[in-house]
This record gives sequence, C-alpha cells and structure tokens, in this order.
Amino acid sequence: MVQHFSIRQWFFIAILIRLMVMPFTLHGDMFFVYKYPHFFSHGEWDIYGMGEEVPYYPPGSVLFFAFLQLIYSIIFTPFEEFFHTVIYTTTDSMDMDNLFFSLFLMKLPYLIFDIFLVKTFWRMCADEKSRSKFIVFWALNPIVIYGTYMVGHLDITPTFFVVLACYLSLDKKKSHWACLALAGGALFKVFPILFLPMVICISSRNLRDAFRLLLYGTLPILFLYSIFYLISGKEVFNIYRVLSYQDFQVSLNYFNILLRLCQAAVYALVCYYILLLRFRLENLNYVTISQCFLAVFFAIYWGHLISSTHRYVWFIPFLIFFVQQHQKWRKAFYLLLLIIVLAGLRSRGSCFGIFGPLNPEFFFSLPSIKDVTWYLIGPQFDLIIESLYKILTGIMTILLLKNLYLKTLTHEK
Amino acid sequence: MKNNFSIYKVRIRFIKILTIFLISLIFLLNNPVHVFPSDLAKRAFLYNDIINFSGQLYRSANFNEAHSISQQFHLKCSNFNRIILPLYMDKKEGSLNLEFNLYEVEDDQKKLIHSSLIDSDSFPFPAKIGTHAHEGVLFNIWFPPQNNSKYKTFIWELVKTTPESKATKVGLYLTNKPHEQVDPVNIDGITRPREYSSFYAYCRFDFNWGDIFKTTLFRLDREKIFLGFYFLVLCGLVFYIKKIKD
Repeated sequence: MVQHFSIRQWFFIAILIRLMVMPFTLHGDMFFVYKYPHFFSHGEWDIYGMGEEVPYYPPGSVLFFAFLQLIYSIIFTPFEEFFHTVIYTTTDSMDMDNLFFSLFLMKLPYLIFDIFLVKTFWRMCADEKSRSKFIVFWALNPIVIYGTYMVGHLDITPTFFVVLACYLSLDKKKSHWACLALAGGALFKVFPILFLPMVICISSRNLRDAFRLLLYGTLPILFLYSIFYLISGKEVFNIYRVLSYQDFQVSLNYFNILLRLCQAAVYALVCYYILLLRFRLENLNYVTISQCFLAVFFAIYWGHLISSTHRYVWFIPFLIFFVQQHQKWRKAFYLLLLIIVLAGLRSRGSCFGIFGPLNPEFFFSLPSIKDVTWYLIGPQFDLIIESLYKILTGIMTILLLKNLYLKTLTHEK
Repeated sequence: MKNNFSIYKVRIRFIKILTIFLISLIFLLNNPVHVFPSDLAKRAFLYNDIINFSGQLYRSANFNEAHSISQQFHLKCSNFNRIILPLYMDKKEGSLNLEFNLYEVEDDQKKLIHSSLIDSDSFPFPAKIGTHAHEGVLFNIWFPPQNNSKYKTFIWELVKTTPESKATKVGLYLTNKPHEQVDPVNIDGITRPREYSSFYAYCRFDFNWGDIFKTTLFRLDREKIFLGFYFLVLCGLVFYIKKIKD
C-alpha cells in the first residue's frame, strides 16, 4: 500500500487524515490553550497574574493565539460568540452551536505549522526515498494526529521551530536564524531553549561567534518576557516554578537528583561529541545531529508524565528521521509509539470521550484503557507502562550515544 | 509473480483479521450487558454528568467543626447511580462515621432515595488526586439507578454521626468555580454564596442505538452549512489525491 502512493499523494493523505478528525474531537486542554489569549485579546493584559493553579505558556503563545482570535473575531463572528460564552459563562461547550466549526478553526493553525515542518524536514532528507519514508511515517503517526489534532495542544508549533533550528544550524550563513528559531519556539513552550547550547556548539566558529549566537537565541526571549514582566511582575515566570517543582520536586528527593544528573550527563556527552567532531574538522550532517537531538529528547522525557501524549510530538520528527536511516530500530519505534499511545488513553476524556462533540453521553460512557486495566490488573498499569517506557528510552539513549561515539572511533582507526 | 502472490496473501490475512475484528465489535457493541458479567456492565458504561473538581480547590470545615454539608445539583442524564466525593483526611486516633443521604427534590419537597453509612476506617490511605496537587480520598457511593433523573434536581448530604470531636479530621474539597448544574453549598444549614462542593455525578448509560444515532444526527444537523462545506473540501481532496496519482 505504501508504494501505491507517491510522495505528493502521501502529503495530501496526511492533510486529509488531519482534516478528518479536527472538527469532531475535543479535549478540555485545548480551551486552556485559547483561554488566556482570549482574555488578552479583550484587553485583560495581566493574564499571568490571574492566580490560576496551572500557569499559562510563555508570552509568544499569548501573542500568537490572541492575534489569531482577534482575526477570527473579525472574520468568523460565530467562533467569537462560541468561545466567549465558553470562557465567560458556565455553559457546557458540548451543548453549544458552532461547536464543530469552532473546533476546526482552533486546530487550523496547527495544520499550517505541520505543513511547514514537513517541508523543512524534506530538505533535510538526502533523497526521494527517505522523503517518501518520512512522509508515510508522518502521515500515519498516531501521536501527531492524536496529540495535535484530537487533543488540540499547541506542541506542533515549538516542534516546528526546533526542526527549523536543526535544519538551519548546519548552514554557517544562517546559524543566527537557527538560534532565532529556537528563541521563537521557546516563546511558545519552554523546551526549545534547552537546545540552544547544542545548536551553538554545532554552529559557532569561535567563542566570539558563540556569544553572538547566544544573544540571538536569548535576546528575543528576554525582550518579550520583560514586556510581560512590566504587566504581570514575577508571575510571568510561574511556568518555570511549575517545571522545576511540580513535575520533578527536585528538593530532597535523591531519585530526582539522580535523574537530573543522568539528563545532564546525556546532554554533556552529546555536546562533547559535537565538539569532538568539529575539532577534527569532520563534517556534521543531518543524520548525526538529528541523533543528537533525539538523545537529548529522550533524556528530557525521563522527567515527564507519560500520559501527556502531546509532549511526545516534540521528538517524533527526529525519531522518524532516525528510524528511516536505521531500519533495525523499527520494532523499537513501533513499541515506543504503542506505549505512548496506551499511556495517553488513560482517562475517558482522552480515550473515546475525545469524540464527545459527536455524542457526549455515548462516547464518555465507554470505558477507557485505565478502566479496563484497573479491572484486569489493578492500579499497576501506570507503573508498568511508565517503567517500560523508561527502560526502552534508557536503552535507546545508551545505544544512540554508543553508535555516535563508536562511529567516530572506528573512523579514527 | 512471487511478489504478487505474497501481497495477495497479506491482503487475505488483513481481510480475515478485519472481519473478525468487525464481527467482535458488532457483537460487543450490541450486547455490552451480555458480554460482560452483569455487575461489571452496570459499572463500566457510565456517563460523568458533573465534574466539579476544578478551579481553586480548598478545604471545607472538617466534620469535627461542622455537623453537616449538603449540596444541591441538577442532572442532565437518566439512570443517575453514582457519586464520587473527593474527601481530605488528616488521620488521627479514632474513626469518624458519616451518614450519606441522597434526596430528590420535587416541588420543593425532599424525597429520600438513598442512605448509607461511611466509616473513615474504610478509607484508603490519602493520595494525590488525579493530576491535582491536592491529596485525599475519592469515595465512591453507588445506589440503584434513578431512571427519570434527567433534568431533575437532587441533593446529597453528609451528616456526622460520631459523637466525640477528637476523631480523624475528614472534610470535603470546595471550589469557587461556578458550574451551571451545581448550586452553592450548604454547611450546617447556611448556604455559602459562590462556594461549591467538589464532587462527581454519574449516570449509567443504556445502549439504545436508535437514540444514539438520533442524537448524533441531531448534533450534526445543527451545523449542516459548515459540515456541507467541510465534506465538500474533503471530497475535493480525495479526488485531488486520486487525480495526482493518475
């Protein structure tokens, strides 16, 4: 079946699949993405100071989604009415008119970033064959479809910026654009900034150049944060408080300190490898640096909740790129996808309930994976799936690093 | 030739698996009550009509300080049969006994439909509730399904029955986030404006396929103009995909 369609056809099949699920699926998290920018677009500037338990994303997300809603409110009045009612009243969104239309509009920007992402990755592929493989894996990828177009999280946007940074980092003339891309991504979600030191290692020619790139990667962030700091004060940094303490609780927890050390070790090994190649004047290529990105992603994920499927969109492009170059990793890739998908379908709202807009009472009544596994094996399911995930990604990281270093050593001999 | 034969074999296998899957699915969807043990079926297919464990959550007065907490709410589903109460607990010597009462309100008259006793000794150890930072116990209360519960008003009430006051501290989580189906909470006979108790209310789902189909169709029909345009775009895309192949 794969060979029956051309690359272009697969590209449009990918769009078709995404379009098919967009209006009929809903997860409450998507309203969170649009909620605070909606306040902002209506003149309530201090959105970080609203004292909510879960702080909103960085300022770039606020500006982007506020601007989008401003445009939508001018062109599509039913959407504005719909979302305004959802945010300011207690009306159940499932009972409202224009639900499908509004869901479609809310997910539409993700499709644009998705298309840009594919186009960027195609440029990194060496030939038609690898492009073709990439688009097939991407078109049918359950994590991208589910996390972005069914749940409606914004993660595809920063993912696109990271992919763009990866693509631009090898071009010496455009390395500053790579750092700007990371800054752009970090203004949507925090994680892209973690790649800034790595991209500087890849792109900089000397220390002065590294400092210049560092400024490119940090100044836009500092600029926007300082504007929002003037409005909301230190509340604007609440997202970092949550990242540091809610997910990890570093203080007085030896397991978490060990976890952080492992993450730092992976990062250091990756950066050292890049510098090692550069000092030997060997050419870095996309296959190598995408592996470096992938290893860092694995390390980041060790500290994340596996049930947050949308976060796994971040590394999917790099994983696909790697798997198409290394066919023997295919089974591990499928297993990893299966684990992430199973972990994501825990609650009813995330499982069949995601089709709630079609018939809420019916779809929310169907048991979720957690209900079934709780009945079959009790509460151990979460532990099993989490352990499986961590073991698998742990092994994959070690093998990735081993591959990278072995290749260099063999080359040296 | 050999390659064609293997593709043919794969296709046959795929069709076989698909057929078995579809038959099982049809059987499962048509007979959810018969496929599973009856008790499990009654507990598995539930609709969560009210989720009021959100917003800024805080602790109510515990049952050593308060005597009763009651909450009025309005349901949108039939076969109401379960309530989950998120309780906080500070374990100390001595257990606390509470009485749970469920009333149906009709013409301002309260009719008791279910009553049960809750003993704090039966609670599991308090743990983090869901993805929230709050610790507590999710206490399940099952009762016979109320067939005509749709669009009706109910009140649940927790009353302390333990006489001494130094028992384990148990209380409810409250929220100030309004919910269209939930009225303000009443603590010791005083209604607290803009304060609501956190709880979940469930209804057993009956598989009436005619109703399911009708509801889905009704919901699609509400947005026929958008959906008409949307399907046109999808069809256009399908034709385009076929065309670029040709």
